Amino acid sequence: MSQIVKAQPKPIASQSVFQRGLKEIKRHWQLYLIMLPPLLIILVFHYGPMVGLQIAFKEFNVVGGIWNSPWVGLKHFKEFITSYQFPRLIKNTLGISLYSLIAGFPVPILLAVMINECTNTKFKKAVQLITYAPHFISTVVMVSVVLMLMAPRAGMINNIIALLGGERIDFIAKPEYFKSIYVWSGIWQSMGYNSIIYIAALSGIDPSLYEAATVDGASKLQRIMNIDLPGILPTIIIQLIMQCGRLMNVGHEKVLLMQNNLNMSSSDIISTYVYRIGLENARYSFSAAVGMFNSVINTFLLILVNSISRKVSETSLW
Amino acid sequence: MKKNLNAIRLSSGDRIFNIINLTLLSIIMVIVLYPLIYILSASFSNSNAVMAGRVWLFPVEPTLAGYEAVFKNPQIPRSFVNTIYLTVAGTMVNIAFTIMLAYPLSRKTLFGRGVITGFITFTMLFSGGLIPSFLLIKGMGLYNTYWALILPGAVSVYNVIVARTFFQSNIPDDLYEAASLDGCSDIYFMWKFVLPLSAPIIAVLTMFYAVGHWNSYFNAMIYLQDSKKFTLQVVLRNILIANQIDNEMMKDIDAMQKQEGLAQLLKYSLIVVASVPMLVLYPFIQKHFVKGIMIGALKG
Amino acid sequence: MSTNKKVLSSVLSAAMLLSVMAGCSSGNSSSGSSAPASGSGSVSASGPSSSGSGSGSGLSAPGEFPITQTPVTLSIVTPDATYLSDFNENEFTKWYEEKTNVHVEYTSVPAQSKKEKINLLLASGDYPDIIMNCGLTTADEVTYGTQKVFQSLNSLIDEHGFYIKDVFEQQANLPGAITSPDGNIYALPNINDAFHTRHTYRAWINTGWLEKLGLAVPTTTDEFYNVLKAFKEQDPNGNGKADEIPMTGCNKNNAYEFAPYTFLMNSFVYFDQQTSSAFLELDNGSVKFVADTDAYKEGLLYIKKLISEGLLDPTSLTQTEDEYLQLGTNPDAQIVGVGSSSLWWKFLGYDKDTEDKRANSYDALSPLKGPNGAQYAPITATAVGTSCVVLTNKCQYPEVAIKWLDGLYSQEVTMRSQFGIEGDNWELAPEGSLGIDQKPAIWHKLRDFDGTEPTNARNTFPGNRTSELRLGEMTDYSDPNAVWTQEPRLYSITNIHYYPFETPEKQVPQSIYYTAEESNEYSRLREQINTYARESLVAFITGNRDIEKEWDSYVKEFEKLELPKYLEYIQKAYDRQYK
Repeated sequence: MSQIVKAQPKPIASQSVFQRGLKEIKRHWQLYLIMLPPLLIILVFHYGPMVGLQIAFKEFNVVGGIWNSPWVGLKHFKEFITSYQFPRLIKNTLGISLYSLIAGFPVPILLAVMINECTNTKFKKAVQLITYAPHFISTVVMVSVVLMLMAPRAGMINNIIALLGGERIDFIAKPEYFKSIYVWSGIWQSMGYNSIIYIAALSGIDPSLYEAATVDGASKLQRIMNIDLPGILPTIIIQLIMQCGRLMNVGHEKVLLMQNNLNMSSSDIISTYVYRIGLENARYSFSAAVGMFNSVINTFLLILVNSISRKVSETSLW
Repeated sequence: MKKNLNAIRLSSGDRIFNIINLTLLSIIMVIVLYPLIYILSASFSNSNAVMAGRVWLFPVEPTLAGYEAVFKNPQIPRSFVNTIYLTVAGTMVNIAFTIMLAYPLSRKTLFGRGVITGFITFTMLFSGGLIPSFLLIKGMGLYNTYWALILPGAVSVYNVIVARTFFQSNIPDDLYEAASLDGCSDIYFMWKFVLPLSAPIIAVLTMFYAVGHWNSYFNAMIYLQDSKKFTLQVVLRNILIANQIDNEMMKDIDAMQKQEGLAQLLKYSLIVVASVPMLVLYPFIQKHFVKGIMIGALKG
Repeated sequence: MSTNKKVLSSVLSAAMLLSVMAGCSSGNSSSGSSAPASGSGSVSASGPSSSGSGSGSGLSAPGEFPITQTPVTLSIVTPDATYLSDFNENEFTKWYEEKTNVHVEYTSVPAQSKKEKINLLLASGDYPDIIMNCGLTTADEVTYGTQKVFQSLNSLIDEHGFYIKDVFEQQANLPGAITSPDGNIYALPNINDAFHTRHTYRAWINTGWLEKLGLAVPTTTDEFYNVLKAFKEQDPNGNGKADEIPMTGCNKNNAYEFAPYTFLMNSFVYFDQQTSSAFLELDNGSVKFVADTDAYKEGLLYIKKLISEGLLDPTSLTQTEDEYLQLGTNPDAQIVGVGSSSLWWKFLGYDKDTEDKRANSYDALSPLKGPNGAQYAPITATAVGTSCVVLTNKCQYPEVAIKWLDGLYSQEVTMRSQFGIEGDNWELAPEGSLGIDQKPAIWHKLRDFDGTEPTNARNTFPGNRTSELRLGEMTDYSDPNAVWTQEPRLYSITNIHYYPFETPEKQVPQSIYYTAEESNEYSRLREQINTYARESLVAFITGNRDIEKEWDSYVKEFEKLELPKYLEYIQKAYDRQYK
């Protein structure tokens, strides 16, 4: 009896991961082969420069270079975190990001759904093209157009307010309006471009699902809620997760152009601070440290949101 | 029978929905359109009118001065060609590499999938910075070549994730099962089945990558030395700078006015010139977003 | 040259070469790139000529041209702002090459990102002999100089300098103002003494309105208040509408001459807003902070009063240059009473032929005298532009290089690079003609050139444009159009309205060198102190913060911001350099 038992092959479960893996790789060697070139690129051009991350812990000087500049440990991190403006920088940066996320995330989705429901093809294409165009406007011109529209004396928005009997407001002078101006002008500029991915995802939904629903008597709204949105849910979730992984990255160019001494309390963010600090002597180490600080927070957020999404839905980044 | 079905389709609720949809979209179009028209009009207007705020909708005192200043620059034609070359070559590399990485990762049973995904996602979060990248490029001998603009960005992890999501949603698992039973290898499957079904995602990737290349400016500035290799955006910005007022110059008021006027106009005409090609490209891409294009291909 | 001198200069040159090579090997060796010291990549770091190391032979005497008998090639990097000016094809550079017998290979970095690019090139170890006008700062000089990437120029200037020595004599604060804390001069300056840029905190008052209302030009803050009130209430533009804006300006990043409060504050304290000296003044050689003093508080109260009574336009704190221009060029009627800016056309426009002769009806306003007698015109530009040209450790012929650079400061070469070709762009002024300053003219401009002509080298190459030279441009004041040319009118208003009020002894110099250890701390403190001071200023004058109630806590906050430490840094560096 025992001989027969011994003759049985080892159960799969007790095979080591390594052995199992090797088997899989051999079976699908073609897939692994074609993944090689892109992975190589990532290794060389994305991981390669990461050796430069160490300058966040050093005092980088050009002659010592990356390898021979002196170590200073957490000095730059301390300087940043204990800086006078730190609380407001964090508050404003996160404030702008979250506002952008909450207000801005749904808009491209809604736009894509609305465009998808268009029956007139010409109109549909026109809407797509027009909403996509603002993406190409440079930041400088974009801000000057926004400021022009907001101008208290001659700006269109205030003219409309005055016409309706209200009092003119100097929007850009008030901290409480800054984030809104920044976020909504951003939504205006990028909603069309950002909707492309959702439009493409919607085009992948099986039309027979619509037919079936219509036969069942579903209204358009019901079809959207039950077919469209669930159909592109994976895309939505992935986009959401990735955006959460970028929460700390608010760029300095546009904010700098809209910042002034009156709205600073709401408009001073991490990147504009780093920019100002580095104007005279390029503080590579300091900005590397701040960058790393941001990255760590982003990573934490990304992992958090990804885990939640894994529990709640079947889609997640990994 | 058909008539009845039609009657069911356009219920009053749906009709109202369509009207609301149309209205909302029209409002959005107008809101988005107005600043675009403004920029277009300003680029054709007299600069004094622009600065004095007299331009609202239509060009005031039309002039081509802004465009003249752009097109009389001898570097424009060459940089235009450069940029087209760079965009086409770069985008092709981009799409190939992206799909090569995204499709395998979309296979739920792929061994090591999580590890590899983690490996590439990490690069979205941490980056080495300008100096190490620059030193790397120089060290590899890629400085002042277009490879410096194509290779480092050959794979955008963001786009890989987007493509992976697409494959996961739209390439049914059983398709591969069925195909492999017929003796189909992975590569053959990709070639014969996946790619034809990938029209929408390839369209999206093309859009993203092409626009990225077309608009890219900073990297071209940092990595290109030869003015003959300059891309369109670099040349355009140089034109803007060349025409900016330098208070140092001992000019008389007339000459200064002319120059400042030109700089104002250029701000707008540059945008128009730079974005027209990409705007022209979009309708071609749009064709691939037709509803149900996937299923048609799948069934076929 | 006598044999002794020849030997001496050979020895000196050899010694210099050795020290340069020693510096070279200790630095830049491990920046991660494999690029060798010279001749790498596409930056044309041209190699030495075949005449070996014989740099002592063939050099001319200081100040003489050509510079050297043996052909030598230098490499220079400059910013490339104008698309036509490839300096390898430029007429000026060709002319200078013939004159000096030194061949130069030029490469360029894009003007928009010159600072970043230069730092990257330096980091990668791939840079040429000379870096010219690429946005280096005094901090860079200290950083690279102490690391021996930039060569020390002291002995080179002593030994081979000629025109540079003239410059040192002409400018009172040279060579101190360009000397680093370790005693070395690492960069040559650009001398550009534009008289009218000395005081840019100007205001322009509508003299047409003054006349109409029968008012005298205000000279004190009280008189000014009354004038503004009259502007507001008495309808000087006569159109029956109360649309007059008594005083306004605009908000432009780092351009504080557009802010009305800058002009007005100078009637209370010495109110300087330049980056390195904002809110600071010199009091008998002692660096003092002005934003926490009682006199400053008086100024805040005054300005707040103006704003709250509608005499100073609060929108001026946020509006753009374009909006400002729209106010000043309002077509139907003049609506601006007093506008603050350094140049009148910024809000009055360029059109000198307006129906109401608009630019004619405004004149510059002298700083007003405040209740405590303060009446200042801070000095916002000096002749010396620091950190213009440096000699790197890649240069194997430093003596040739220094002589080449030295020549740029001669009058002949300066006029050629900055004004153009004699006979084409300018000629020597005829006997008896007068210049902008009404003294005998030196030169007469025939034809200006724009930035795209291949003769231009202005603003890239340093030169020695002294005040005398600039003001020596021939001007015919009897020609009514002459007043509309920039230089003459600016000269006269500066002379009449601002120059008399300048107090150089109160001005903190712009060029103060900090050591590498001090530099980061200094900029961090400066950033936080100035940001807080500016935000508070604006909050106080608009009434967002109550001056009386919050003054004490405001002053106290500066301790938290480490103000005393900040002042210590500056004082120490200032003493080291100027005392």
